[in-house]
Amino acid sequence: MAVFNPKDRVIECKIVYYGPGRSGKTTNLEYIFKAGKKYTDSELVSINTKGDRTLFFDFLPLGLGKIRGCDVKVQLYTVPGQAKYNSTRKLVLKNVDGVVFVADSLEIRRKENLVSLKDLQQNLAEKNINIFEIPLIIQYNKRDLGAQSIPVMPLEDMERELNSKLKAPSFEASALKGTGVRDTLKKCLVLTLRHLQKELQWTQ
Amino acid sequence: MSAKASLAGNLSFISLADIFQILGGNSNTGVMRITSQHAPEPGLIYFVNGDPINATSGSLSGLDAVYALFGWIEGKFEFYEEKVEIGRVIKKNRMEILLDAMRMLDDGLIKKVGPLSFDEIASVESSKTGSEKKGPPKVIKGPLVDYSHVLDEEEYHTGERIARAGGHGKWIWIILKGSVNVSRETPNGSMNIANLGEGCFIGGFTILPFTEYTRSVTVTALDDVRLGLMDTEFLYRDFMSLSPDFRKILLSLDGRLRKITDRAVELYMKEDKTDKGFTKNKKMVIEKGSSKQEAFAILEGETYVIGQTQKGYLLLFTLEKDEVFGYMPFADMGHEPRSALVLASKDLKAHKLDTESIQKEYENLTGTFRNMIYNSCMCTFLTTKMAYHLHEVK
Repeated sequence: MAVFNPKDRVIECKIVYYGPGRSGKTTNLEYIFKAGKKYTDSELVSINTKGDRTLFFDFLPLGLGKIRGCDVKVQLYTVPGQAKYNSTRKLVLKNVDGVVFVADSLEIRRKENLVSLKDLQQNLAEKNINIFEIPLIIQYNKRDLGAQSIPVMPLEDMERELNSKLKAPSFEASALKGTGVRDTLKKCLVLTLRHLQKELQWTQ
Repeated sequence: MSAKASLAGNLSFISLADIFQILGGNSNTGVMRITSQHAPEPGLIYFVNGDPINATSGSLSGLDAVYALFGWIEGKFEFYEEKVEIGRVIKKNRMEILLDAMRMLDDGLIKKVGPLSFDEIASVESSKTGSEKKGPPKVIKGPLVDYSHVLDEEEYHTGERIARAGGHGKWIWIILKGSVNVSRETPNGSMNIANLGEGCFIGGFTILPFTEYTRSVTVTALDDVRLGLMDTEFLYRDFMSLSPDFRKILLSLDGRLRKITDRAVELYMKEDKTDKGFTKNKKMVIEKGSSKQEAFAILEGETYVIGQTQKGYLLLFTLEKDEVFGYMPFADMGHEPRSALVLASKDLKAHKLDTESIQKEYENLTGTFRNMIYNSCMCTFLTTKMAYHLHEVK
């Protein structure tokens, strides 16, 4: 559930990038931060966690317009994958409004994707959130590596393994180059705001 | 400091991370004061427009103090809205502090201040099982010593016996320095029960109304120990000023520790006399894992507290007239309703306790009484774990 800040008349909503370690969550966020610098006065907060980094920043996507005269502020987070970072995960997933699951296309990372998705479902369930109900986007990252003859999973296989039940909107991406990053976020924002409006019965 | 806090509560209910976000979102300015039973001095954090700008905690200040305070898992916080005149030493972004603190907690870089969690107690427990020692036995520490009821000090040297099981005594001691071993003599040799350190009590509530009672365990100094002799006169007056129900609870907590210790000894001796059909003619009064917040004092009949191990159900002990069972908000000892179930004899008559007023009475207790309760619950929890273990290896 988004947080409404009556003092500044801002609705803050939270989008979390989830996925196995090194799948490109932070790369996604870094790209967005760079590309959207003019929309934010916030700093990119980066915390080094073992095997991964946790990132945070917030921004005002101006294109989204206002809801009932309130600006919409979006907070973007990544979550450290390792099991032991429980406190961080708890904090970050609290009041989450939308999730982007960044899957690693590398063949050798196939199992990690499945484990992480299962993990996401459990962590959301602990917060009484159903993974089938929360706005969720799946991003198949590192697609460009296929061209460099590094074995990547065929798209259909990934779709079948990760998304056959969830049926979430999915995107191909190469976060390092920025391909697909914007589309992923845009779709997630649209879904998240639509979901919030429905939940709060707001009409624009 | 103005007299009335603008925001106050318990850290175990709302974590410091949440408070940071509330104050941050509202751009509040003022001072937050955090107190804990486990720390000698309160911690202070100064906020300006929702951002922490300075803090103190013990000898620490600034950011280090803020991080240290994230380790306080139990305690009370009060936020006073007022002008802050202290200088700004923290420059880090609020969110960065939060995320960093969470990471440091998970990486074990922030020391946790509070009662041991179940997992931690379990890990202490797994390092010792009955008399067989695996690695150095760990010492359990109690809450911070409250000196207000310490009458006199006594010294004991390594190996010296402080109390003997079966002996009579009328003293309650608190360990000020050093550590002691708690054991029970059995025909199979001495059974090691626990090692207690600073802040733990020797002797319980039962001494107060009965002035003299039989010690249930033998206590020996592990190193040079300094004990504080508690002012039992004073504690007795305090005790008598409590409501009859609350006195029953305290005595019953003590009783549980005795009974579970006896039970552990039985299991150690492999003398489990529970017969298979013992659940016959008994009714279930509390299911394991029940979320009902009810507690009862027994007027007539008996109840049986039953735990579960990997080997199946295990009768922990029987409760009789005047003893208390059910949900106790301040006494977590790994029994019902969370981790054990309660059966009752057909003729059970019990009187329902008013948990709300009991909780209020608890909050008004002296620090010493609260520490004694904590101590008694922790020992009960550990001994229950030991009984489980003995049941499993049987």
